[in-house]
Amino acid sequence: MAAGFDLTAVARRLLNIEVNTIIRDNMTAEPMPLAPHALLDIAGEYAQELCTLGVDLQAYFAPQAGDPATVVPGWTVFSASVSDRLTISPATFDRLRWAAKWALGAARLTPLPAAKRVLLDRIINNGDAIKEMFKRFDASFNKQFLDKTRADLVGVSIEAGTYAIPTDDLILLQKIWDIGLEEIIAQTVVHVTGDVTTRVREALFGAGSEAIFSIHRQSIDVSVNCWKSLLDAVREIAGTAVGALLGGRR
Amino acid sequence: MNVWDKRGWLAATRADIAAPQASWHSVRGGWRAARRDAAELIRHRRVLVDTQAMTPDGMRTVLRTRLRLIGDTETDILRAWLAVAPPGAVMAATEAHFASVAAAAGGWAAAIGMERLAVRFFVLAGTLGSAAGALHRILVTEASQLVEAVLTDRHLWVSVASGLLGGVVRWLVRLRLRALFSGG
Repeated sequence: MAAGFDLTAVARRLLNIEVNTIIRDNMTAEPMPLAPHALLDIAGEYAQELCTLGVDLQAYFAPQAGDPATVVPGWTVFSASVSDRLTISPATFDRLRWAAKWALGAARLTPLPAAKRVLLDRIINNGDAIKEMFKRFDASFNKQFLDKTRADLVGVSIEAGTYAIPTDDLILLQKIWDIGLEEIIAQTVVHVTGDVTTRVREALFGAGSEAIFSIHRQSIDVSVNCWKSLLDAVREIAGTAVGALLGGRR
Repeated sequence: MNVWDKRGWLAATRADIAAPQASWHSVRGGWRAARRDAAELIRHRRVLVDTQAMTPDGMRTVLRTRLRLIGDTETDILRAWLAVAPPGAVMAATEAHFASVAAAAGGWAAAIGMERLAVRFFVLAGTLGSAAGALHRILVTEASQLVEAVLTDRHLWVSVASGLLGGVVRWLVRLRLRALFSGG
């Protein structure tokens, strides 16, 4: 459940937009579940990817595991699942981000494909972002869900109205959940100052990529138009204070 | 690129008229769809637009765009479709898809455009009415009775009130939109 809307926070986030194009093997119409389940989904997907890469996650999630920053897990051919030890907590995301950090460092000796390195970077960044979110969750959320596993959640009925999450955190959580560990093949960031940065996967430089570029270009066009409307709407709703933040004048 | 509007008053008014018009005739289903999309953007903090096409596995969603309240956009492409669909079919589906996305994103522009049009209408009507009323009163009233005549002229005050109503409308719409956002 979203907390009251902070227009200033939204206005600040609107100072730049990110346009991503992703190729997926499957598209389901499944909406994001409630935040506690969404957090466990994200942790589960990250843990699964790290296990698939061969990181020994048991070293991070074993009861006697110490400071995750100092753990040296090593590569393993068969990495046992830690899904039953993932909890709704900053500690879970801290362990996952340190595991990804270790894998990135170790990849210097055991090279990983560039696409996998990008995913490890994403696990680190999103892990840190989610850890920060926990500081802003309200007391009710922490009281109900902190340190709960999936098995714990299955036994209780979660009511969205019983806790509050800041809306900009909820938007970010939804984005992290939506994108997951899918490979972003083209990304454009447009800043309100006019700077535009586009990153494209190397694999797209071959023949037959025109369609993807065309889709990405149209996505940018639509996004920028929508962005203008959103900026206009926020400025109109919030009035002069946010208008000044955004630097606009009419 | 500067996203801020540096247009003149007339151009801005034209744009504010065009936004609801575009929304009315949108491929998503007119004003109702625009209103539904705007509501979805607030409720779910994003609008989701899917386009289906024939793939080797049958009819499936091949393009999906999520427009988020913070301006970010993700477009997903189904790999199996992209691999086998003829380039012409991909282009056609893409054009149709982004026309729908643009329409889905137009709800806010339409709402804000209509609010500004209403404000402008009241302010303009009030200003013109007041000016005409005052001029008429000046022409038909002796100078010694002018102040009293102006103060007691109902038509003149209705025009002034109409102008002020523009501000009230703007304030009410802002309150309503803020309430909607807060409920998001």
